Amino acid sequence: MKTAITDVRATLRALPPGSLVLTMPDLPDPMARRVALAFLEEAAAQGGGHVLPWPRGAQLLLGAAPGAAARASEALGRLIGARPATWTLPGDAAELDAWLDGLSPPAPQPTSLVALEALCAALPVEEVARLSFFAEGPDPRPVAQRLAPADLALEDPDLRAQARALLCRRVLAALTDPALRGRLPALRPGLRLLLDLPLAGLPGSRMVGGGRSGRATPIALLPLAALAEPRFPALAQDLAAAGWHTGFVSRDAEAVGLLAGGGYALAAPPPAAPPALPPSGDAPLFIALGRDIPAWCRAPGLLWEVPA
Amino acid sequence: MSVALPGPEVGPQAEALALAALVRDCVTSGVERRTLHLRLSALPEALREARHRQMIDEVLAPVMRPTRARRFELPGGDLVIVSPPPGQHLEEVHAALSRLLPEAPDGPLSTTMRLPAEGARLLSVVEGAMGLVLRREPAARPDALPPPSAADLDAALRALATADLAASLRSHPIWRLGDGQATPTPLWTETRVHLPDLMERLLPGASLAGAPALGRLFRRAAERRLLADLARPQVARAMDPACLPLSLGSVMEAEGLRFDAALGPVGREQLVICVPLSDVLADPGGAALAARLARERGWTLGLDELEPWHLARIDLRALDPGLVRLRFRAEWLAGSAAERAALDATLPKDRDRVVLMGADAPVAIAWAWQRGITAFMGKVLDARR
Repeated sequence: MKTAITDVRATLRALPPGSLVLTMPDLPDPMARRVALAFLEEAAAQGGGHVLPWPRGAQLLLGAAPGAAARASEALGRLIGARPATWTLPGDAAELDAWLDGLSPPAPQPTSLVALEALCAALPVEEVARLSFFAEGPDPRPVAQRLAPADLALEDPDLRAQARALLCRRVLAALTDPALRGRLPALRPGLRLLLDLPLAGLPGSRMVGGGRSGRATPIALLPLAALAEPRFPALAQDLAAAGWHTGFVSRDAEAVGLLAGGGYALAAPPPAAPPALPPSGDAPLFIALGRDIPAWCRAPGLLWEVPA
Repeated sequence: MSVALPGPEVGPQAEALALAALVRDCVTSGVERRTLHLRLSALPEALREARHRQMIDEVLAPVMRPTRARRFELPGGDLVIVSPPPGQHLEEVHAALSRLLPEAPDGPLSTTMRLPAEGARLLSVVEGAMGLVLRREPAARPDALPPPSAADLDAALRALATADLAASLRSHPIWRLGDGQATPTPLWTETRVHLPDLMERLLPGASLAGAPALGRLFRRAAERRLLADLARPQVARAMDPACLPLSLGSVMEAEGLRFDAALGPVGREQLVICVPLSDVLADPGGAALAARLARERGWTLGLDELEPWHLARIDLRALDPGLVRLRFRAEWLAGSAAERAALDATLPKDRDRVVLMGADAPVAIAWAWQRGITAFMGKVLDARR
């Protein structure tokens, strides 16, 4: 059901003096966004008022009861680390109007697999992969480079995983095709290679690790969910036979706590506090992704992302 | 600890249970025994008269007398002799009977086995005799079926939004059966969408096995329908203690959250939602949010379809699942003492949080009891009520 902006404004103006309005901006994570909506709706069910979507990316609870609103706000703080803003009308009306005007609509998302496949297929080879660089220890000079599929900023985790699989396949196809390889970002000589792979692993036995060993051994980054696959041990064995270390990649800092047992590298955004990391031989213990790198990541045996 | 399965106290059924217990004890304690299995149930009718049986008993007599051998008569007429090593007498009897008994088309009628090494093989004999055949998973499922095209999958997902799921829903009770108890008490009723059924209906000839992300999209679309039904106030309020195996995405879908709201505090306290480990690994942030939501709302978040090798690779302390569902595998009974110890070490310390799925044979229950596990889902318990 679409709600027009003029309708929401009219409803806002019609609220009796002293009314509370709770606003929750659209969160980047759709799960967190749905949890926020569920708690606003529960506050409305318990304490009166009603929830209306602001068409340009927010949920509004109009006419909330103070007790129910406070309970929802506290629960959301605990659950998603974000609380709705509370406005009292008519005093805050102008400020609320300005805040609403400042919101921008969320980026459109593909809603079908046909659209997703088209999106992935339409990317020119130059944009299919992204090259990033990693340092080890306190020295910020890069020692490793990661060739990863482009991040399409998809909200749905399953569509994102499928897009990753499709783009990984395109990157691998381009890497093994002399006519296309030159259109991928140019790998720097002398840097250890981290290569994102689809769940199926390497395509055939065509790609061997180039005979590098020890701390120069290239690292294959599989999605963390590969760990639950019955065929994972065979996959890791194939990779080792082809001269690769096995690693995992996740976009969540929570991934760090899930991996038990040594032997595998993990590339993920770093949690604020250093976790207990299992030893992993010649593979780095942890590969910190992203721009916000806490100081604990600049230790020997850990790789951390540096600006290109 | 001695494990006795409740059942009749005399007769072939009781002897079969006693033999199963003896095999399990050998397997868990590593005590060596030699066994002889006589497949008398496979004898042709003409050779099953009393005088034939007398002949067999005469051949067996020498082995029974001087040693501490025990003899078990199984339902169907098979005989199993269990003797301490070296079991020389058994070998002699085996040789004598092999000469005496005719050839059967499906293999020899007299077989010797060693315990504990061949424990699983002998247990399958016992369970076969009791009419409880352990189904073993094929080692590798051939997934020759191709994935569906994007257009076909889109059409299936659209169809799921309005499909009638009634024919594809499956319910199974989950039982508590304490060590030595005869009658199980119900804990929860599991309700799930049977996905192979829906795949067959909506995407015949295709498989999503090679594309887990697409499999999850399909599952979520089906479970959205289920959750929308369950979220109707009259359904949610009348709900008995339930165990819902769901995709992580489904739990956090608008329909899942509406169901959570409709249940109320009492309904939530009786609800367990089990998500697969692969979903947790695919979305660790989402799993952490679901765990926080479960604690906030008062329902239990569990992990579904875990295998021991999962538990060895994954650290679950951060997620702290309230329930862990393991699927029983007959292979667990075999293997060396070290392998069995490694398996035991991976089990969650709090055994009250473990449900053993696939408890289709008494041996699964005995295995669980020896490890303090008392919650089960499977045919052998359903039959007991």
